[in-house]
Amino acid sequence: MIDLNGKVGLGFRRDLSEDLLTTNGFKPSFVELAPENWMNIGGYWKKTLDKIVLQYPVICHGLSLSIGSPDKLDFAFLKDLKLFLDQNNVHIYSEHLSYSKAKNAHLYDLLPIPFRQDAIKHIVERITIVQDFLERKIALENVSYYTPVAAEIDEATFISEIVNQANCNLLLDVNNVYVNAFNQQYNAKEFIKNLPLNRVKYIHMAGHEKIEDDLIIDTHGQDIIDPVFELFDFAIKHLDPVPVLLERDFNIPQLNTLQKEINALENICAKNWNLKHAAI
Amino acid sequence: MQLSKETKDIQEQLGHYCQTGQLIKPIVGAKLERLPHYRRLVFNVIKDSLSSAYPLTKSLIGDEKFYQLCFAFFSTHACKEPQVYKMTGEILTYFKEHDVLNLKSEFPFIEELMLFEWTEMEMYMMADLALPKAKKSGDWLHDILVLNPESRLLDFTYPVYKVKPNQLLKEKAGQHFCVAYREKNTGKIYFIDVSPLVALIISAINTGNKLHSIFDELNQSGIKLNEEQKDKIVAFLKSESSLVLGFIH
Repeated sequence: MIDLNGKVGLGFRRDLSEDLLTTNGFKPSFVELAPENWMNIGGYWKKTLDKIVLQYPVICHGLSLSIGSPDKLDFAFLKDLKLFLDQNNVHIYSEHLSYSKAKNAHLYDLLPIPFRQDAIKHIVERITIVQDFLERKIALENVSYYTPVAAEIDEATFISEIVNQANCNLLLDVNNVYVNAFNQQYNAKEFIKNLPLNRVKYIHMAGHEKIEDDLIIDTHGQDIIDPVFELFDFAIKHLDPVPVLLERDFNIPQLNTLQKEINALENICAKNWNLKHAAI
Repeated sequence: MQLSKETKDIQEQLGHYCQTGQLIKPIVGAKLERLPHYRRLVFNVIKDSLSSAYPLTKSLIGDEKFYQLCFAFFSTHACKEPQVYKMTGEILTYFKEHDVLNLKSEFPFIEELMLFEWTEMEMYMMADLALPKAKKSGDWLHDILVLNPESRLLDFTYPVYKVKPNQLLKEKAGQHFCVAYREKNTGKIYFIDVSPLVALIISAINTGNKLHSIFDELNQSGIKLNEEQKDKIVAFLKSESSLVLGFIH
């Protein structure tokens, strides 16, 4: 297994497949893909997937597990997922700490879970089942949200309790912290310090869009702004090296722009994590 | 379940709002002015995915009606598929039973047009099927012909697979057959127009019958083919090397 800690990867989009598979010098350290977009497929895109898996380490970041859902877990889906992870040599699988299914209807987006004790117990139980079924630890991402819903405790406590009780990992999405801190008006650095940072095993970085004076939407469609880079710099000072992903799902720019963002992230990683290693 | 009824209800309320745009009652602790963003983001996924899957249908009925159809579908149907591309197939089942915009009276072929578009998408994405073992050379009449397992014989009342949608209104209802297959190297889906007779023969080949037996059976049932007609059928099969993969002696 290749050590991806401290390395910077890129979210795999079909639009990028030719660039990632040709030898034009553009080669992130790893790629991340959503298993739901690639499970149970064949033909052209299966061939493309096979080539990607041969050329890159692959991390999977799911969309449909709906770990916070009031609905029952979908074991047919989990079975397909496990097969996909095993067949494609995927060692890191993460999902969102949110829900995307209710009343047996998939909603195909990430809805905020009420920050409540009963939700914590419910989700911890489900994570335990999922980890047992998949025979691996999963990492859960702090998601962006535009309004809290029926919250009784604060977000950092909610996340911490879940990952600690479920003994799972945390995917720290630094852009989401920035977005939420702006939208919910809290201090992003204090929030990060209150998370169980020893459980962070993966980081996401992305751009966003400010659509109102007091509202940012997490679009993954813009370049990363400097304050998010600065928050990343702050966050990783408190972390051991982990893989870092650049997410770009829409409005995909020229490769040199993506490469510049990857380089910027690599430089921040090198500055912090190499220094840390040297000190040890 | 560890979840309280109250929390479950709140989560389902938000889900229902995202699905329908209807808020049954205010959601506890939520900023109401922010909720429409969730509804918008959810519905954008649905609109965009269905627009990609059904470009011909969308262009035929226009954006406004198409989005009304998307809305009607998503707000009343509980989508079962965790994979978004498979969700786009669910609208077909829905549409068969719920023509809320009365589109079928205006476009009698619309259900078949949607089926054609979904078939192309579904075959393009479907998992690879194992290729049967077959010899590259053989006797076209006396060996079993091995067809591409990634092929389907389709019959339509309207020629949706070969006539542009805006021209289909001029077409009368009839019987139209085609064979759809996925080409192994490119993964592209091809639709070949075939006559009812060839459709019958392909169907018989699919069940393992040899061509000479099929001709005999046709003859016994009163469909008498002359040598020129038989040669044409063999020539057609020979020309479709991505459909007929080989022979079993």
